[in-house]
Amino acid sequence: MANYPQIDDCSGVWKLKDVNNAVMGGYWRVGSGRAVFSGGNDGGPDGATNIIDYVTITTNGNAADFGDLTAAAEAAGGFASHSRFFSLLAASPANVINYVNVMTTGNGADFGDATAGTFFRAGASNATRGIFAGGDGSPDVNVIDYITMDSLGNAADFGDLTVARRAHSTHASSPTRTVFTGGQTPTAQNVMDFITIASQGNAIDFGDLTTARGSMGACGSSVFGMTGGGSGDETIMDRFTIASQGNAIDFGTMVLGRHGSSACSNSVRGLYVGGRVSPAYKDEMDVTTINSGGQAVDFGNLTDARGNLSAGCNNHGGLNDGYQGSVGRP
Amino acid sequence: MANKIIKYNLEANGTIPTYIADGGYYPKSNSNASPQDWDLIGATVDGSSETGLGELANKAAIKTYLDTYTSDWKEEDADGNKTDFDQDAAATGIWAKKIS
Repeated sequence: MANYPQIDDCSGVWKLKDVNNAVMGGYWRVGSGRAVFSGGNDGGPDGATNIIDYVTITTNGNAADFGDLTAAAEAAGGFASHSRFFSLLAASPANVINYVNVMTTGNGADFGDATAGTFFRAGASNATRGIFAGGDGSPDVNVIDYITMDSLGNAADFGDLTVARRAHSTHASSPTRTVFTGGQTPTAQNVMDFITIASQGNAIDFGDLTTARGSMGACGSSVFGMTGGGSGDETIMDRFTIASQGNAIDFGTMVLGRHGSSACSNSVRGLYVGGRVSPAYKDEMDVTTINSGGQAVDFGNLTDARGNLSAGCNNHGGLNDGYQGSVGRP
Repeated sequence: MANKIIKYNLEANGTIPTYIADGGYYPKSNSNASPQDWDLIGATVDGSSETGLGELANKAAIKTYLDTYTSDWKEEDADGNKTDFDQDAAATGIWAKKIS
């Protein structure tokens, strides 16, 4: 039996007082920890794929088939709410947003359109809003879009990044903030900037990564954001405190240094999936504990080796105000 | 009305200057403390007289400026193929934000 009632681990009988204390105390886990991965380039003749696969982050193991996107996608931003996972279709058509219901395997469905179609966007969310930001172009894109995840519809303009760039990462969100990390302009950057998700506006400078890089995964709890890997097939993982505006610190190393991996978390464990060590696409998934860091360990394998895929989990830091795995039962 | 294409820094508190309508392009490292450690290119809001760190008065001026610090930049596609950064295309893209 768990140490406290959790929505995804609640066998036994719990007193309402225990549940209330967990919710009010900030250690009530509100999602199942299912992570969904979509699209990506597997190096096949068609390049981008429409694959969707999934894992449960609490349990190491291989990914399983979930369904298909309505079209192939690569280097598209992804994110999740408690119930839905979203991805742009960044291959063609370029600005279409697909979604699936996280707990029900099946194919993607049309949600609406982003304000513009580009590759290498970043995605993030809290429980209400989903964010797409940046992307490639000449010049690269500074646009931040948002959607309201519970209602179908098109994205609307949110504001601008401080530095227009592509291949930057997010999923490093609290319910209040999301932090965009690194990226390429086209040179690799150490820049981080953040937005307050509930209020439209421009991003604000945050601090710097330990090294300049793009094409990395990022994830986090509601307290800490993390990045892993990146251009140059880095093994480095950084961590930063989302509520601060300080610099990132060296936090650990990936099992396999690579670029083009994506990441997501269940607020306790951060999972880095897929990627590329040129010329080979990888099916590796690495997992690390957000509060302790150190050397990541092998988690399992994707159903298909690919890079630049979208990832999201229904229990990430943007959805969990308080539960970061470090909040124990009083 | 008209706007200007200029070089600028973020404000000391890390925000984008209010006179910038569309910016953050092609950062050039400088010796300032963070968050003003990048010289950025952007288009001012329509009607603004702000020139920031200096106006880039035409496409040729943008390209000349880019040439000073981007000669070793590489573009990388999704397959990892690298090509030289195209300063002329970048200057064209930036100059397209000019409102005459």
